[in-house]
Amino acid sequence: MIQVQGLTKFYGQRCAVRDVSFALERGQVIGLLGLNGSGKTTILRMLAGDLEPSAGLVRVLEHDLVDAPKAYRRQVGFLPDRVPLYPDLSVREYLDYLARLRGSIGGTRVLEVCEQVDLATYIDEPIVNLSHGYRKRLGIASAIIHRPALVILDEPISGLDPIQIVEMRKLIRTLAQDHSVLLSSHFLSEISQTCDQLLVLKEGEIVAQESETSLQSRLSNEVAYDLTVHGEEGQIRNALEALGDLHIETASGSTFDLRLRSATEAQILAKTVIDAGLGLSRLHVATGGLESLFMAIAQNPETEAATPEDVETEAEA
Amino acid sequence: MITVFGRELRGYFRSPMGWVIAAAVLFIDGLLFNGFAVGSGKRLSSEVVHDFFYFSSGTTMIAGLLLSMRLFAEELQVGTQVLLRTAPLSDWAVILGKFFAAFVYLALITLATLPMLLLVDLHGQLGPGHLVAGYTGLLLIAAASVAIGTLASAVADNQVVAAILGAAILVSLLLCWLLARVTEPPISDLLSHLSFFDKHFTAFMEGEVRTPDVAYYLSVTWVCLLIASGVQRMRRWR
Repeated sequence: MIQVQGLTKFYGQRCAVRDVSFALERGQVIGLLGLNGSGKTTILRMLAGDLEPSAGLVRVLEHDLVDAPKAYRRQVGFLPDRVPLYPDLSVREYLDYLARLRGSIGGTRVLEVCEQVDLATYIDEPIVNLSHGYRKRLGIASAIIHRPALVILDEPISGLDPIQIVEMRKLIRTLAQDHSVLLSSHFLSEISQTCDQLLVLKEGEIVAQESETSLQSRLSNEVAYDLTVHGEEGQIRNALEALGDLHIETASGSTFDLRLRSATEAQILAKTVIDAGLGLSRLHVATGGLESLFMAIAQNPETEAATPEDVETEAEA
Repeated sequence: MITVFGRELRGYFRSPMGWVIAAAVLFIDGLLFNGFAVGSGKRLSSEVVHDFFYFSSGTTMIAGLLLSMRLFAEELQVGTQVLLRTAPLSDWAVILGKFFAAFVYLALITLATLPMLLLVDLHGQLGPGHLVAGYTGLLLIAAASVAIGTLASAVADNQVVAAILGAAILVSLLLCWLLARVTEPPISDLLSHLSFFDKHFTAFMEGEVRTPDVAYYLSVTWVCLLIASGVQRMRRWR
């Protein structure tokens, strides 16, 4: 549905984005991760039609960014990091203006979008009176007012308080029902909770593209499991130490909370525990390692890049 | 283009800046009309009208720059330019929408001076042709000034720089007649033709509409908008 191939951007002699390729399907949420200056915003601006690419192909529903810019831009909604607002307008006037600007009709759609982003009670409020959180919501409303296929959100949760972050996370997942969503964030844990796939950027190039779990597995060839096992300590050690690096986190009688780093698959791990005559009440793939994972990819030049072709090959295998 | 035009035109009516500029132009035009154009002695109606258009051309030029300096520079300052750049509109449509909004607002201000001249008709004899020619000239000078301001606003990153740049372009064009006096042909001919006021506006003040003068102001307008459109396109590359 959304196809990006060989996207490249030069600022003078400096290459800010090099040969970026990926695809997005309807209903998918992809997160763009990278250190400052890695090219995230440049990619988002190019995909939004705000910046001309130096090379590459970008298509949304067969509309090409370069060959059919107007048709392309009708299919894209963009929320930049700094929400672009006209403070002299009310919420209704602003959304109505943007709908018309994008070749759509405001009218009832304005109310519909305001209800979707929980802004309906403020519809006639001047924008100047809105709080930061509601301004972000209005920014999202403006990005979807014309029913685009692709919604691009640059740092959608920056500056929000914890409650607003939870609400925004829900809102982004809701958007995925009708749109494809591409977002960038510095909140790595947020990316992990909101996105189906990660694109990790380093110096303008994609160095990894897959889900967090498979990325973690690919990099270390190990997954961190959290388990709660019931039995004798010696029996547990005998059964599990052969599979990987075992740490007993807490012990209470015959109940042990364990962290096991292992290349073994979850099903085999569970079977091993049960076959050893132990009780298993919890088996969980730990997800808190995104920060370390990201640092490993972004900072370690030896890390092997995981290309989309690699992922496909693995999936086929 | 119509959407951008509507938003910009409403913006002038909703902002204090729009009303302040309108009030200032009408106040200064009124002062100059009563103090100098009408004066204290006996004058012919045509002389009064001639002088009114002479003074009014100056306020129109300044108002044109002040109204247009915000068109793009303000969007850049508050970050809303991205809304226009990512909209399914050509750069040219955005330029035209903004230009026509500022021009129509200035045209309304200019036409609001008409009652002053109608007062002349109470005590003298006013030639309608003289009025039509004078206002045609004022509207053309308004269009060219707004276009120069639009270009400056498209180039500059903030409104102050846009105003200074616009004023520099306008004053350079105004001074072309002086430079024409101290240079040799064909340079002097070229500079004379480029002169914003001396060469092309005097005929309008005297009630005459000449095709070369109309063509000159329309050309300045078109060229400035064309360059502004090019500047906007270039901004997409950086």
